[in-house]
Amino acid sequence: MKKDEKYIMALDEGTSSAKTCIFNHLGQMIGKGQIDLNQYYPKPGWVEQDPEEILNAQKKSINIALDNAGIAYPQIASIGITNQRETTVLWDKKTGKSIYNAIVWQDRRTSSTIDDLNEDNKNMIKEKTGLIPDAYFSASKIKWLLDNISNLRKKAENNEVLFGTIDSFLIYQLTGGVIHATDCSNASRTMLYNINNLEWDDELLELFKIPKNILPTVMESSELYGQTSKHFSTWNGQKYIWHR
Amino acid sequence: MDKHLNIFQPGMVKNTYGTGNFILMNTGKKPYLSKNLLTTIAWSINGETTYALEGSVFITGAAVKWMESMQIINDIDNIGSLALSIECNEGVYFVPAFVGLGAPYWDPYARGTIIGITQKSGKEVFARAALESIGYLSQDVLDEMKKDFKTEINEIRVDGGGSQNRFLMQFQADISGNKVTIPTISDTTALGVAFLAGLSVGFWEDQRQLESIWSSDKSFHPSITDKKRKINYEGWKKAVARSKGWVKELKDVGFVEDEL
Repeated sequence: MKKDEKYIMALDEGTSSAKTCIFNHLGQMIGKGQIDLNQYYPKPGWVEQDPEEILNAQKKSINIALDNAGIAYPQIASIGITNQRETTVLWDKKTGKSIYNAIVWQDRRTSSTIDDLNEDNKNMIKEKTGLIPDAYFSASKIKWLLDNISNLRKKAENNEVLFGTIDSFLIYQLTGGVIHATDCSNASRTMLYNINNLEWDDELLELFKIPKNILPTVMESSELYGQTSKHFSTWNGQKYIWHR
Repeated sequence: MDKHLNIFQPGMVKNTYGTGNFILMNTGKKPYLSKNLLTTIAWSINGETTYALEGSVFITGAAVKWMESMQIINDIDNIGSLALSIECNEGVYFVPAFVGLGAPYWDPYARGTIIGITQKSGKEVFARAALESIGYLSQDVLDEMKKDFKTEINEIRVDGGGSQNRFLMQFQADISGNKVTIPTISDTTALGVAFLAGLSVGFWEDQRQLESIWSSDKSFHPSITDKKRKINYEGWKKAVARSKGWVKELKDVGFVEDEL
């Protein structure tokens, strides 16, 4: 394998494991790393994960995949991310540390929030987001965090807190807090994104009492998102281009 | 971008077998609203958005994992041969509604149900019922798609961990009456995002290149009669009916939130 040959890295952050795959130009996988993830069940119907544990597992899988492929970081031309989707994380804008565990897509704790919506609002959600109103999606999970963690709503309104699904959380970490973004396929699973005009929807944000400033910028699925940070290089030893 | 890049053309259907199952049909450039399925964005490239209909099934692989953790199944890799060691499910159905039911039922109050157990029921039956449930839950969504989109489905493209299970793939073909196609590589989800990342730096030139990379490894074809398919599926529907609304019923008799 030539030292100047380039490869593409894919981070596949699923519900049960964090995986990294490296592909060559022919689309053949030349390296893979996989670390299993824990789930926590504090109450029946509640499902949580630890965002820092996810981040560490993803980092480990990257290193395993590179070793497995026998290539070095500078040989990665770009990185893509796919993830478990609706799972909700709120983190401190300054430190990048999560405020509470991630509420996993399977979590049912907010079923009653959805039940309590009137028919007009349910219809509005359906028309705007294409989704069937359900606790599955991020909206009611964000609301739960803002309502139940002390002081959090105030912090969110003061611009001290950010929301993201795991893809956004990983991008934020890997770019050293520079990029807060997601793509429209993930945004379409929050129940806050209008799939007709492709924008965050103010009426839905009002309905779930979520401040708009905590949401990520929505980008296309194939676009340059940013670069990995020096901070990132402290754990991988090298600097390389980062994007989805 | 999410896990949908193996369905390039409108009308194509894929099923990802993971913790849950996610069945998507590419519906093209406009959102198509459905009664019981989700309308979602599959991806956007160069200012063009592609939409999909999706049926999300919350617990499938997670149910098999649960059986392993309960030591009902000791070896997850051999669950297929365990299931194959009996001729049929012996009337046992497993509805893994651990967190309620997703598409197309959307019942947050349903709970996991195993019905039809007798003294004869052994590990084989549980293994078989668990794998079959994944096929049935997927079929519920496929049926809804056919109704909604008023189209026949010719092929189901599959990926995810569960697609490596040959018993399950044959069962999926049998119960859906469709061809089920496995790709050459198992990590098509990772390949999909790698492709999107590569596109944006010119590592690959256009989407068509991915279509040529995606190649099928093996296809499973339906091998049971329509009559048998109908009977087995009717049994499943009855089992689902038993699992629905369970938490609500318990609340009606006086259970409080903290006890559930």
